[in-house]
Amino acid sequence: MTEPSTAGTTTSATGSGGGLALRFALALHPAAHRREWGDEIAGVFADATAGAGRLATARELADLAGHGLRVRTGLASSGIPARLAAVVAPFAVGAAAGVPLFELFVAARALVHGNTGVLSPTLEGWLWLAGDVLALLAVVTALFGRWPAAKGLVLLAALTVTSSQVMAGVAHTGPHNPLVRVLLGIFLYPGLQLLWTAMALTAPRDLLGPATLRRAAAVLAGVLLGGVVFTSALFSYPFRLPVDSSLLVLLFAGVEGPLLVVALPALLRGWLFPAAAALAGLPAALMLSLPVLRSTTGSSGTAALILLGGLVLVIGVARLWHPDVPDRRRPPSAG
Amino acid sequence: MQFADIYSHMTERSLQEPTLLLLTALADAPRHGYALIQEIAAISGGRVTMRTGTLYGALDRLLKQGLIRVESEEIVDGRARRTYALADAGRELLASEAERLRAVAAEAQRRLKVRTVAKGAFA
Repeated sequence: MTEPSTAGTTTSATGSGGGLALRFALALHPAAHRREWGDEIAGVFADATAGAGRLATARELADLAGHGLRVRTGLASSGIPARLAAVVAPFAVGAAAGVPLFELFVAARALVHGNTGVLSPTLEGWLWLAGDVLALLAVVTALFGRWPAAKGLVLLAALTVTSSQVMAGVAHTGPHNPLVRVLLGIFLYPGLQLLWTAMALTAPRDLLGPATLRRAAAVLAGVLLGGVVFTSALFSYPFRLPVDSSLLVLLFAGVEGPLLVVALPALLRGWLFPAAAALAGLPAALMLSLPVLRSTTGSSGTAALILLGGLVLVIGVARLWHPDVPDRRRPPSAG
Repeated sequence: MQFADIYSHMTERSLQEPTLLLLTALADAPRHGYALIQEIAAISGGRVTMRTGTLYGALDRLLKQGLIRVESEEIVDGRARRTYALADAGRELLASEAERLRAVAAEAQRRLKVRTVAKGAFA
């Protein structure tokens, strides 16, 4: 055990090889927060990375950058959004991984039946397979409560699958398959995965506890919901489901709608669960509404609405970019 | 502590492990940031490595919740350094959590003994 108050020797943070990276990570913190904590954080970072390898230093930097972004966007662990994200995170990791995992299952099933055509010997084919394997690893690490690893893997899986889809989609554009339709298709499939991945990433580490039966059940429920039900309904994979997509939309609206209605009053009373459940289902609600939108507004109209929604989101985040950070330093005279 | 914070503590079944470790690390004496990282690693037997960003996210939260306070500020090697201490609310919360964990552990041990005795009786 360390000596109280005196342990640790502060070394120069900016003088080390990671000085530039540290300055960048600190620059991600709001100016007021940096003024209040920057010096102290730099000192602790220097002590924590003294003699550490590149990987350990990179992890520290990623953690520090993540903390800065959280404070900037109002997602610091002291706020309700972060607490909500922490409740949703196990489900979100499972759901994000469930989308490609389901495809892996479909491919394995096809291989068992002798259909080797699913193993496409192209770069996007291998990327797709890599994304599926990463998703599987994300679920395993989440079940063991290794949240930093699970979040990293689920992000890598989402980026890999998205890259694969973009490469495949762009290669198939043509007069009868315009780019806007291809991009919409790309958004429809990995979009679900990306949205759940974003939810998982917003949960701060200090609010995520160890592996418990409840969290494991949430991960598996996510895999089930994200993977089987929604991708089956949206993309009509060859499985017999007890419901068709239109009935699923109605069923989902029947659950998600009331949850959204009670979410805010429940939050004001300090109850996180209804809002967390509504948040967890939101990506699915958005994705389920896309086919309906596409049938009414067409591909271009839907793409425009998605862009508009994205713009509103960016503006919303930008408005949070300079949060007011109160100075909590005590006056010197205070005991 | 504000009502929402007290309520959130009451409705949480138990403290999350990083919070529990952080409060435990401050239970016997005030400590500064890097000492807390070392102490948490020692308490958890090296199982938990609290990184700098996570530590300051947690410290920020616990300060806002009134569970810890800044004990002192000093300049070491030209750099500002705060020392953190457990506030009364944090001490109460940690004590109740420790009692809860102690009760669970005691009950687990009692049941394990009952099981051993029962197996011996049927042998």
